[in-house]
Parts: sequence; structure tokens; C-alpha cells
Amino acid sequence: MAKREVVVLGVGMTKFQRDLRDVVEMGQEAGTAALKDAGVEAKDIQMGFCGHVNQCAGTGMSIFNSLGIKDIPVTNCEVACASASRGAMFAAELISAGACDMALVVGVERMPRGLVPAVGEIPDFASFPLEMALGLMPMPGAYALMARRHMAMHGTTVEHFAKAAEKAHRNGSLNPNACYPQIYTMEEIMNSRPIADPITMYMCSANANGSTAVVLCSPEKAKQYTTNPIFLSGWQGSTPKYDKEDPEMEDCDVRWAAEKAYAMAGMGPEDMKVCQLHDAFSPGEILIIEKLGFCPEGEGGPFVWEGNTEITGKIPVNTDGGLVSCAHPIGCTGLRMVSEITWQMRGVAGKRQIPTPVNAGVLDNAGAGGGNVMVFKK
Amino acid sequence: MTADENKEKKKVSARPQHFSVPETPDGEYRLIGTQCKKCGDSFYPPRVVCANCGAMEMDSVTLSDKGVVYSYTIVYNTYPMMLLASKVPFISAQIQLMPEKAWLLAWLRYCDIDKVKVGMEVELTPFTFSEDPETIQLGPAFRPVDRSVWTGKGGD
Repeated sequence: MAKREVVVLGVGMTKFQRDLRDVVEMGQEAGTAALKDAGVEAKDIQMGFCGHVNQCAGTGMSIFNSLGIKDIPVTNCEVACASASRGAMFAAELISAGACDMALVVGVERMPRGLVPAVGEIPDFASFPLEMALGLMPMPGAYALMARRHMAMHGTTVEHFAKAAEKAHRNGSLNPNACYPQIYTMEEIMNSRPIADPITMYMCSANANGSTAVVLCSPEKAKQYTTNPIFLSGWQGSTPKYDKEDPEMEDCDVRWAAEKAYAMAGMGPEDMKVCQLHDAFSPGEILIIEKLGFCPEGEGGPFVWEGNTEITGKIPVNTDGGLVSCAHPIGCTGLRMVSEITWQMRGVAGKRQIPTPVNAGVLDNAGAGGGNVMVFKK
Repeated sequence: MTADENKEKKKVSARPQHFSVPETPDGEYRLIGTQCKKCGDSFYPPRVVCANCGAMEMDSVTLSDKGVVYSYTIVYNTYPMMLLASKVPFISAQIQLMPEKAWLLAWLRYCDIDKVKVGMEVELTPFTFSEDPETIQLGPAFRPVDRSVWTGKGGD
């Protein structure tokens, strides 16, 4: 069935930080900001989605209630770290199918300190898959395995990964919503505490709390509110591919999903002017830019090293600091990416604004075992 | 040492459905997986639906006890409640069994962390998953075939 593009009418987010705000307070702040940004009211929203991973049952419903949004279906949506973008994808598919005109999507998470738990509580340790019971696969481990393979096959170096981290922290220093706006030198990044070789601490996204919200609507409905709409024109969700020869531990088949999303939007990687991608750990930038088609396979390291992903580069990547500097409230991150692309396309990104016109962008939001690619245009 | 402690404990598998522990000292440890009747691809641990072609007819098979390191990481920080948390840094390796190319994630034991490499040949070796006064539960791990990269005496 053909899918139709939808409009990103409004976005809003809280600052990402370590604090005592509860999920409803954060969701309310981001949701209100998105409604105001869109120029709509609670009564205009016909469907609601909430991305969250480890919060209470009913979190989304509590947030929508706090926003005064009544009598509509609200659904919580969990795809690990890709929850919020999947919520937006669901909303887009329903709007596209004519099931509603306008939807609000909220992503929210309060994060504990330390390694993101892969398994939550441990009811029956003895029954765990062995690799989990051993602790063989903390989250940085999956990226580390992909990174080490990339190094062995393509000559990528730790310096390449550190460069991606250094750029992320530098971009984040220009973003008032980033949790960790500090700038680090290459030496500081490479000499920071080893986590899962070759990944060091400053190549890791930190845990913090935050919320982001997005109002999506049909192109017809958008005409009431704006003459300059930003479209979500292509999207595709995915799970990992199977390749016996090359069993890369990718969360989803980004290359396949990107081809689908670009095709739906009628665009290609060469048309993109901004990219937000899932650098839960800095090697992610190098791995994902190849799959999104910005450089040939294996050349991501030199591509980043040469500055092509800088704000002033060929394809600016993670202009707001990405997960590494903004931090990673896991159920919220995908909509933070949507917001940044929207701000860049509107030309309102302040000190981190891309200096050339931004009329198209792409995001890749990856969660454990699934992810989404989305393409935007003006 | 008391007579009790001296007693040979019974060795059993922590995951009997896909790892077999020999009943005699000269027997061998085995990985048990499945092979698709339609396309021939093999999997560990056993799958009932083929990841390649989607067929649901699978044979139970004994897999190779040798493989190569597809990739690896040296883990410095893992979940504190997990078995290897006290053994950091340790090597976590993604291993392709050869020749089947079924792959698994395993603890690469005994290997010098400065000498681990993508493509390194490895072989099956057991580790102690848990222990009580009567039994030792064992699980599958791997070690380098080349003993020159082993640490110390090849022990923990």
C-alpha cells in the first residue's frame, strides 16, 4: 500500500539533564512546547503515542492527561532506543492512511546511572541465555564488536572513532539542551577510561533524563497552520538482516531501511543536507554514514577524519551533539533527532545552524534489535 | 581438605539442550545446534525456524568445536550481577564455527588481551557456570588454538 508523506507541524523538547523531574513533568513540558510550536490546541490532537522503555505502565496516558488531551486513543510504544521514532512512524502511517488528521508523539525517559540494563530485574538468573548471564554483551560491547570488525576489514583506527566523539562534543557545546556540553580533546577522549575496547568513556552516550514531542499532521490539515511545511516524506522500520558470511551485530538493517525510505521520499543520499544518527557509541557514526550512503563501505573513518560530517562539511552529522553530547534518554532520543532536523530546516538552530540552506535531512534511530530510518524535506 | 571436598564432583551441562558434557574423562564437549533441511544453514543455539530461508524443518546436529574470531571486544565494564563482572578485563568474541559458519557470542578464555585478533582460530573449552557440593555446571567458552598467545599457564 502506498504511503503518503505527512507534515512535521511542531516540535518541542526539554533540556536533557540529570535531575529529579518526573516523566509526566517532562512529557508535559515537551508536549506543551510542541503544541505551541505547531500553533494547535489539545482538542486538535486525535491520536497519541508515547515512546518510553523502562517507565511505569501507563506513562503515555498520564502525560496526555496532563496535557488536557481527552477522549483519544493513546498508545505506548517500545522499540528499545528507537521507541520515539517508531511512535512517530506509527502516527505517520495512520495519518497517511487517513485514520486521523493530527497526532502528538511524546518520547520520554528517566535514566538510571551506569550501563543501560539489558535485562531489567533478574528473576531467574539460571535460565538466562549464557551470553547474558556471563555479561558478555553490555551495550557498548555490540558497537565494539562492529568497530573491531571494521578496523580489521577496512583499516579504520581508534583515532577515527575519537574524531567522531570530539566533533560530537564540540557540536554539543553549541546546544543549550545538551546534557554534557563539555569539549574534549582527541587525547582526552582516547585516554579516558576503557569501557569495551576500542570504545572509551568519552565515546559513550551518557544517561540523562529528557523528553521531546512532535506534532504530525496531514498535508491538507497543515495548510491551516503553515505556508512553509516540513514533510516527513519517507520512513522504514527494520530488524537485523541475516548474513551468514558477515554476521554483523547491527541493530537493524540500516542500508535496506535507508533505500526504502529514500525511495519513498523520491530522494537519495546525495540530496541530504543534514543527518542525525544513532551514536550511542561513537563508532556508530562511522558505521552508519556508510549504510546511509554518504560514503562507500569501509571509508567512513577517513570520511569523518577529513571533516565531511562537520556542521560545515559535505553532510553535517549530529549537529546538536548527538547521543554522545546530548545524552541518551532512551525512549526519547528518536524525537530529539526529529526536532534537530526540523530546527535545521527552519534555520533556527542558533550557533550550530548549518550555514547553507537545509531542504532535506535523514535520521537513523537504532534500538536493540530494531530501528528506523526517516527522510524529511521542505 | 575433608573427604567431602576431595570427592570428585559430577560434571553436568548448564545448558543440556545445546551443550553436551562428556560422561567419561576422555570424552569431548560438544555444541548442539540445528541445521535447516531446506537450505543447509546451521545455527547455534538451536533455532526452530531457519533465519535464512524461513523453513521450519530443522535437524538437530553436532556442530564443529573449532571456529574463527569474526570480531571481539575487551570488556572493561559489565553488569555487576553477571558472572564475569569480577573478571574484567575479559574478551567477548563473536565466533563463526567452521566450516558451518553458525556464529555465537562467547567468552574467549586464556587469551592475552594484547594478542587477540580478528580471524584467530579458536576451539571449544568449558567454563564453570555454577557449583554446589555435588555438581559442577559447565557452559561453553572458547580458547585460542595457538598456545603461544595464552596467558600464564592457560588458567583463569
